[in-house]
Amino acid sequence: MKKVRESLYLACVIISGLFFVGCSTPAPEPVPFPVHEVDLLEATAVKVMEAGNWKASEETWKEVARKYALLDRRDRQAVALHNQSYSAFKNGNYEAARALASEAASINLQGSEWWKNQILLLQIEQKTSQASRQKKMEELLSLAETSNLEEKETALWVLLQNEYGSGLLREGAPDKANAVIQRALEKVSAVDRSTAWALNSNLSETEEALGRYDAALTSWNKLLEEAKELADRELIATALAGQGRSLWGLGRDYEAIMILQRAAKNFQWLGMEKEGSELFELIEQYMIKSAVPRESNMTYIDTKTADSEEGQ
Amino acid sequence: MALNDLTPQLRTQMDRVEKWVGFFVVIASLIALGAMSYYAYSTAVRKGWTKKKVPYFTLVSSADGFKVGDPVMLMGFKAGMITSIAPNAPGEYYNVTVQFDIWEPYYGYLWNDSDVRLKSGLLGGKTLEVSKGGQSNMDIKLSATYKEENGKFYVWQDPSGDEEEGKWSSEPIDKNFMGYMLFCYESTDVMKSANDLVNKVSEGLPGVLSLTNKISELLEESTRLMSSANGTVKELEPIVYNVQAITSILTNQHGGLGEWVIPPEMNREIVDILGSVKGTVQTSETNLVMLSQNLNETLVNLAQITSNLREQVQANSYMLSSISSLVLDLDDLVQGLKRNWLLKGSFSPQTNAPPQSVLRPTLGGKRQ
Repeated sequence: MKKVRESLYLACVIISGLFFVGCSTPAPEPVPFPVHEVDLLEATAVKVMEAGNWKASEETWKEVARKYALLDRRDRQAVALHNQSYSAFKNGNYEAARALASEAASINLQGSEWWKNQILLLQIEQKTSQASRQKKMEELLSLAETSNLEEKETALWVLLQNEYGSGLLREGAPDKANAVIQRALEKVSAVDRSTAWALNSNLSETEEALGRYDAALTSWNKLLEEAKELADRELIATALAGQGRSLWGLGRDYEAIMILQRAAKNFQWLGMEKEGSELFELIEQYMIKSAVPRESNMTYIDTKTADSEEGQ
Repeated sequence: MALNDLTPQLRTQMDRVEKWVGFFVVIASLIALGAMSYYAYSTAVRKGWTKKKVPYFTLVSSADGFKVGDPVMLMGFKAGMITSIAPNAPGEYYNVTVQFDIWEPYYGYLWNDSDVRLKSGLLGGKTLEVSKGGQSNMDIKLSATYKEENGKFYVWQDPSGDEEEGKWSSEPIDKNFMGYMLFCYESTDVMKSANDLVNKVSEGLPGVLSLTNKISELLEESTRLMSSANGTVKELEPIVYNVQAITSILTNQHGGLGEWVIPPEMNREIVDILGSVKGTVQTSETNLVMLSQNLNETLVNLAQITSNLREQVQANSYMLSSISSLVLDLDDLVQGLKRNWLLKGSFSPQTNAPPQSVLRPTLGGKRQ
């Protein structure tokens, strides 16, 4: 009898255990195929863009935007259009980029995404029309002031200030640019390291423009180390170029030309031909000015060092 | 807690509640009692407990399909109930004795020429059906099976041995009385044979019907053919007339058609040509036969090739369907695992934030 009772208890325990283990929540709703498809495509677009394959990125984001439009996801469509615009901008298709960014802005109407669209439009205008850029910049600065963007969207405000400062630098007002960027750097904690690096880089350029080469060189040295930590080859090349220019300003011509050559090579290896050729033109000008024999200098290029930096 | 421990107000209130509860309990008990009484009464009526009843018995070859409590029918009414089913002694001719009671007023319908018939149900059950007396045309003195005097039942005793007439029993029946015997007509064998016959007829009927259909079709075809032949004969009439006219002309030796159209030289040449043509036709026929044979072989080979292809395609489709089933089953398995409380954590949906608009700061005063 005891055995029978124990067996019954055991059976009850096993059945309860099985019931408890078998207890399950209702199956999650399956993701509709079109949604799943656009998710996958979007992930692909992000990866392609991160890899710097701007042509493929433009096409992929175009498809993502089309699919989001079909799904009536206007917010996501605007993001896709913005990224397509950025890819087109990187590809040099400025008119297409402007149209796409404007379309994205027309969807967003307001908010942080709208500000992103506007800042991208500023960057595009810089390539096409300086007059319209200046006009747009003034409008945006005024709007940022009235809408208290500095407090509400600090990161975007910093980006806007960076655009403003770099524009002033290009227009030949380094002192104003320096002040604007200095002010933006006060809010640097709100942005990521890459943006902070860009701000410091632009500040260093203003230092160069103001003739403060020592400060600029010190800043570029720090930025080079930081760029190596970020493992961003474009930033490394940019920092090297800054170092070279600062050294030239300090009269250390030979070192300057060596470093500038490394920077130019790095830009070329990155496929940034325009930046590379601009640096080579600068090197040529420096060589002419310093009367350093061109052929002799070219033989001293330390390609090994350049390779190692490129490898990072 | 005793009722006395409560406050007077509460005690009054409780008294009132107790009264209502007691009233409800009494009412409920009465209703239950009434329901039970009604149920008992209806059961008694259904089972004939309230009615007078007299016993009968019959002899059957098998107890298959019977059980105690089954109704006994008379003229479509439930007239009684089987009370006992017992096997007989091994040496007896009949195998089973079935006892049953017949309730009032139905036993008045049962006379000494009444009998019992077995009625088969659809699900294999059997029902006893007793017949009304006076309908058998038997050459006997008809009498009721029981008579009631002073509340007691006397049974009719049929004549036996040297007796010429039956008589009523001198003593009333008691509880041990087995009952009046009614003869049972077990026409199961005949019914079975009839049933088999009907089944065979049913089986053969489609064949007969198809045969008649075919005959009908044949007759229709014949009619159609005859009508066509009639038309053809009508069409042939002028041709026959013309042939008759031509032959009448040909019978005329001078100016006959053959002699007039084909001279003797030409006739010879025509005979030669026809001979060569015949040879050519024979050769062509031989070649055609060979060609058709070769073509037949080619077609057979082609059929074999296509059948092989078909088999391959079928085999592949089976393989593909198997793979498809496997994938579906695996999907089912994974979906099931996803719902299990222990494992569902492993299948949590991706929580990555959706991609944002990319915006990088402008680098440098000149570069971009």
